[in-house]
Amino acid sequence: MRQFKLAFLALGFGLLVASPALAADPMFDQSRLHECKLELDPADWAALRANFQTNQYYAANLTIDGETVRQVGIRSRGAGSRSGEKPGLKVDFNKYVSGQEFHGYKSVVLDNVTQDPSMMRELLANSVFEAVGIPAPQIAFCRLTINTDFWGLYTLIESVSKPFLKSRLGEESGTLYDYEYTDDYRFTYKGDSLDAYVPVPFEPQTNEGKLDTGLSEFIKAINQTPQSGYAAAMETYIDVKKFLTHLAVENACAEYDGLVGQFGLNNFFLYQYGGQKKFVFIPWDKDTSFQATVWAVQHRMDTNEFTKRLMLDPAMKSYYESEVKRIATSFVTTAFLGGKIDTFANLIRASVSADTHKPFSSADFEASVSGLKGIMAGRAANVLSQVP
Amino acid sequence: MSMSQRCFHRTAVVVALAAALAAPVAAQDAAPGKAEKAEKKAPAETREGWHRDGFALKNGKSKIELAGYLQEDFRNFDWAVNGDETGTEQGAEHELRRLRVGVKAEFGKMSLEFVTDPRNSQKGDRLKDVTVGYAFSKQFTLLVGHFKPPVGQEFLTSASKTDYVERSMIGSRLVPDREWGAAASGELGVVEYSVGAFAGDGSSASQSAGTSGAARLTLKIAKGLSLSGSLMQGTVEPDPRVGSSEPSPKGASGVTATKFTFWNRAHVNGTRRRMGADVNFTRGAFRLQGEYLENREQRKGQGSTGQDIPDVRGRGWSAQAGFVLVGARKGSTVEPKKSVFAGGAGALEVVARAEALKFDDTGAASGFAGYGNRARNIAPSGSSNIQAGVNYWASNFMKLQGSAIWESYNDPLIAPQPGKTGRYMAYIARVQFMIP
Repeated sequence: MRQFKLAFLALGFGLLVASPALAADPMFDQSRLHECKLELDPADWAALRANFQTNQYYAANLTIDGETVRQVGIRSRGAGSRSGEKPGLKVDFNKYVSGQEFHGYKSVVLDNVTQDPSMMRELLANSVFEAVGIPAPQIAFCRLTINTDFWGLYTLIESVSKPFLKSRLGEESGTLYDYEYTDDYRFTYKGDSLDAYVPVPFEPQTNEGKLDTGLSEFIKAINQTPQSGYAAAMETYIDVKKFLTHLAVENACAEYDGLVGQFGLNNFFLYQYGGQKKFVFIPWDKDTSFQATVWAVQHRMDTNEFTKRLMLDPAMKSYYESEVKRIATSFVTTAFLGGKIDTFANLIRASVSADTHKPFSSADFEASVSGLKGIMAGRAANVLSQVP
Repeated sequence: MSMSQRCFHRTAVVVALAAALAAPVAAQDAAPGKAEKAEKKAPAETREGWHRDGFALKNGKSKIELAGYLQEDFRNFDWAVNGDETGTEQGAEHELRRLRVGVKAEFGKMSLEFVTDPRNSQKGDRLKDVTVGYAFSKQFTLLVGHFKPPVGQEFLTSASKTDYVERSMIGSRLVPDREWGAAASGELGVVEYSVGAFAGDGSSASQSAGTSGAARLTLKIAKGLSLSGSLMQGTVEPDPRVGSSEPSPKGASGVTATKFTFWNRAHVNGTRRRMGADVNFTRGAFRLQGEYLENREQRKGQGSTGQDIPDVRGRGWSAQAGFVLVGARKGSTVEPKKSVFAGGAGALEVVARAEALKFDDTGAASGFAGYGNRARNIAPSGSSNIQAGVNYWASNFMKLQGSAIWESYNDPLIAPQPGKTGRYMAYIARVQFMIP
């Protein structure tokens, strides 16, 4: 009977933390190294590399694991990762062909992974987000060939767009904002007008022509809601505990460029549910996770208007710290991620070595992989030393 | 204003304008019987002194008359465009397509015309025909102002008089738009000519070329049979890059009668040349027309690395036939012998058309063929269709048109539903009220 109760509780807990239905497209199967090939005019590729700071599109045919989608639009992408040597690419299937989709997706990202010598940090971090029930984009390794030339090891990433919203959040009618980093912004109030926040830094990706004032109301509430009953009042706009879990993942994973990033807010999408005032944060570009074993649980939580106010509430602070502890001891561990690190390293090692466009050496790759293992081995203990 | 309010507003505008026309229509339609009797009693003679005649004021050979028409279009499709979330890839189910109001005047050898579209939605393109003309002789008339450069047969036919709800693809996509300029025209025996110089090839279009020249010659081969050729040439400069924003391409676009875009504008720079030929054969109730038009644009320095790339060329043809079952053909239109408002049957014409338009570059088809607007080797794209229609004139003031269109596409990817080249069926209808 006791075993039954435990099993029941475990099932209940599992349901609470289970990730919303993951599409599990074979294109993002992490157990294999995918083959991606872009066929395009060599002059266009030269132009994309020369003008990598622009968003000029070029037509190409993309083949993934032998399956070809014709006349896609590709452009250079990224912020700090933009590169002419090894361009990161956004692939839009419907740029030139109205309504064209590939496996149900309208776009994917070919990430150049130039900021992570281990090349696997984003995969590891996203798996932690998924493990705690926060939908994160699917991602897998691929070898990219441009016409006949091997261009390096990339990651193939699911775009955060309507198909993602529908499959992971259950609806797509709301407004999706892509946070485009321009300067150090931390949810400070800049006025009631939506224009103060849109399109910079919050760039709408859906409902562009019919935005409501939900975002400016949300930011106003972050700043002007009285501290007494703050968390309860913010429930109007966001699932506060889920948001704290999102923050807990970032600090458990020692992420330095996220919601409480070193340079202000960065690397997320913000979605406002259709017909509601409620928002949810979606993680993005987590290749700066796992920076160190020793990382404060409250790292920079006082630098962001929203997190600062929440941490002034003892109950919320306690919940947040318990989440960091749970995540660090359950998922940022050798038991949960160690096997993935070895598997990924073995999967990509030869391609990393052959990748002559990467901005680091193969020795850097090996050192970074070793460093990751060290972080997994020691991170939980460090968190427990802060939150016994 | 909500969608339903806009629809109500538009419908109200149509009804009001129709009602405004209805009274004089009834009066005019009732008049022919009396007029016919009067004509039998006394030979027609030119009345002196200004007097009203229908919508015109006349004084001898001078006249000032109202001009204008209104068109409401209705469309029905048996298909939808994949991924068209904004609803811009297919024509609206109904719309007030055109509204023209203006005045025309003739004072001896001088003619004046002012026609505009007063709708707010046409802001920036409200000005239509604004001209001053002087007929020195039958051989030489000078026209100055804002008007259509002499290119293409159907393009030069007023939209109120075309046989189809939509002009052909070549007659709408490869032609210039109204422009400021001056043109000389006249008849020299069996030859009609029109030659002009224009400030560009579309005063309201951001894709306009610079100063352009245009000419059209028509050879009257026999009674009811004519052959024409048109040429227009200008130089188009690329849109400058402003900051980090990408320049807008200025090349021609390919759009079907149902408003699906099968060819996006390319970046062009250099000479833009239009060449066309058309033939027109009319005998009694029967009319046969054929037209070919080509638009070729240079792409100097427009490659993705700034290199010169082959010209982009759009070319196409249309062939159409019409037969008047009831009524009489008069010039480019048909007139009822007796309007329905005077107890007659109106006029009825059946028409059919086949047409095609295709875009490609003029270089060798080697290497990757792309859809990009700076592609060296452009993946060709085209569309063709067959139309059958009926035109009915209840009177000289009211015309009803209906067309069934079967569209198809050359490239299965560039189609409303990728993978399916056709046929895509659509029905288009138009209600038109006009001042004859």
